[in-house]
Amino acid sequence: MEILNAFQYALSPYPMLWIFIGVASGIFVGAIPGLGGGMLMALTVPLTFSMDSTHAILLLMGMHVGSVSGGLISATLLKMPGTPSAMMTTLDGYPMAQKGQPGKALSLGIGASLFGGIISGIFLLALAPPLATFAHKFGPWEYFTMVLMALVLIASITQGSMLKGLMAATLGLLAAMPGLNESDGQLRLTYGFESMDDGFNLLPVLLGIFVMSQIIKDALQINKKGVGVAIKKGERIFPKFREWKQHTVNILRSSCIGTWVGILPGIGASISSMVSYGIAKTFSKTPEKFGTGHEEGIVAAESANNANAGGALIPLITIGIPGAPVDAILLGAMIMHQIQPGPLLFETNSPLVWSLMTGYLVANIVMFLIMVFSARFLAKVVSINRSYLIPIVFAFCLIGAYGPSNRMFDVWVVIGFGILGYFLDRAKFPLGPFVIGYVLAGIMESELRSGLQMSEGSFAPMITRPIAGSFTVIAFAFLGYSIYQEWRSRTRLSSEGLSTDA
Amino acid sequence: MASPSRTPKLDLSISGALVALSVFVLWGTKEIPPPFFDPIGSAAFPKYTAYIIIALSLAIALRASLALRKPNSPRKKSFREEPLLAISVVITSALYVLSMQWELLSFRWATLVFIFLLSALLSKFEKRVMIFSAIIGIVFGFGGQYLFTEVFYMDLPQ
Repeated sequence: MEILNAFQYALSPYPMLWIFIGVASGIFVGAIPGLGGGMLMALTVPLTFSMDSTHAILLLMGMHVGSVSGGLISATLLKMPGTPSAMMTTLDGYPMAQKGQPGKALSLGIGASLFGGIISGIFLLALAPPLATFAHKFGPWEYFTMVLMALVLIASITQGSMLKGLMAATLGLLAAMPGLNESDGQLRLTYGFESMDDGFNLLPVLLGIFVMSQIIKDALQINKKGVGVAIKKGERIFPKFREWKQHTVNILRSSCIGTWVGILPGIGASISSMVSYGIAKTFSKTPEKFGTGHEEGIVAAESANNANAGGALIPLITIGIPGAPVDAILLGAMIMHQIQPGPLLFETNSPLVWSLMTGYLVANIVMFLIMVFSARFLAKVVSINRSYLIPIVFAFCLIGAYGPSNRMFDVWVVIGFGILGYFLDRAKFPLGPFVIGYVLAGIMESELRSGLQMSEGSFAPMITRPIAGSFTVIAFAFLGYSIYQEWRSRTRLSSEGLSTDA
Repeated sequence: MASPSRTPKLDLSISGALVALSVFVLWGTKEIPPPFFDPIGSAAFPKYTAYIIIALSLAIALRASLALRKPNSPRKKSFREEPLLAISVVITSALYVLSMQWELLSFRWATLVFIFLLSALLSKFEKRVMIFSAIIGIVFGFGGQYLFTEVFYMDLPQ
């Protein structure tokens, strides 16, 4: 019954309007290389303070769904993924567009995105309620070990070096330390500056890491331009049923992979599309065609990255752990709107949870319709001059950071974290673990301290309690496996180097 | 997943800076009073974090110094980077913030000047961009002030 009421609510005019605005702006921003969903969401959060909280969350979620899908357009037409999650789409989307079939490439991607989103939405509706019930069993040690596992997982699975992933997550934890400690009301690491008493607030940190660092990068790479492919007049973009039918297995498999990777705490859509692309290639009858404009490649990448968005909502709603870096913004927005995600949310704010889940499904359908009917227009937008965008985006940053607190200190935090984020990104430190570490630091510390009080200073419950023990074992197993993988890869590379030298 | 460091010099610099930051944090934790009702207190978490950062920095620095020994052919980029523009973005943004913090300009005028100036810099003073950016600056400065204060009820620097 709740689900029907929620659908009725999500389809009513106001929520529908916010979903539409969210999805449309998400697609628009997602299509422009150098901008992204995280950036848009972080800039929008302060504007939602005067809104109804459910509408605000639906708007932000719509932006998330739209931006993941919008990345497809520039990936296909410019060979520049609008969002990192569309990276794998460029491998086959652009070659297909170059072969004179940009409309077909887009139609395959749009159709796959819709199915990926719908399938993960079904998983979300089916899995979130029982998982929330299960999470009722969690105590401080379970939460602490789960956050530990999430941080290890994101740092290990993230692209590039595991060491850098771990470092980024730890730096995120450290960034959350200064200011008033909520556990005992103690001020720490303020170094005598009154402005530091509140610490580094969530929004300025997110704006700095997601937006300011990207602005600096965009200015540095202002000469980077894609070689565009235009959509011919009269070329079909609406996907054909026959094409979908032909890719049923690929869509189902990639959507399941995307959803599953999304459920794993902290791992973003880029990993989903990479994994499902690789698996689609392995199972394909024509693996040699991958990377040359193959339909299966586009379908696998696009259905997985959209499915990831739905999967990532599951841990966010049920246990309050963001499933992907962008979900950290959604988590932050919920907290700012006095909504505490976690197992109790189903009891304390059940209508919001169900509206969010059904709204996610509606957002995917809205995304499909907007993409199909506006792809031609968006194809022109993708190459918009960044000289106009960069100053406007920073002005939005200033409003977003200054507006809620009326403190210029927060604007300096944006600039400071932007510079830090830029250098970390330049040195290939992933920014996702940083954001997740920052967002989860508070829970991690308070749960550890509560746990230690209960156990009188003993860390043994990390192992002796069954659920906490499982999380600890998974965390250490992952860490061990990643270290082994890194060592093996180094050994292989050095032996390859030796044989080349010989 | 794993790969040798592709940015060894930058890795070394960042590692050094992070070790210094960790030492600064450890020094800061000395000011925190000891725990009075729980076993670890407020200083423990920043301390553990700083120790982990030092350990990871040393590992990254070691890896980077090993990578520095190997001859590395730099990857050629398909476009020319503009470090001066990136620096000018940071400086212009800082001046934009300072102009309002020191109450030299209100949000609307500071935004107008900032958008025009930065767009001009980024486009290398292309005439067409400068004309459009002046229009955008006026619309965003004056329209933005009205929109954010009257519609979204946010205070902006006056």
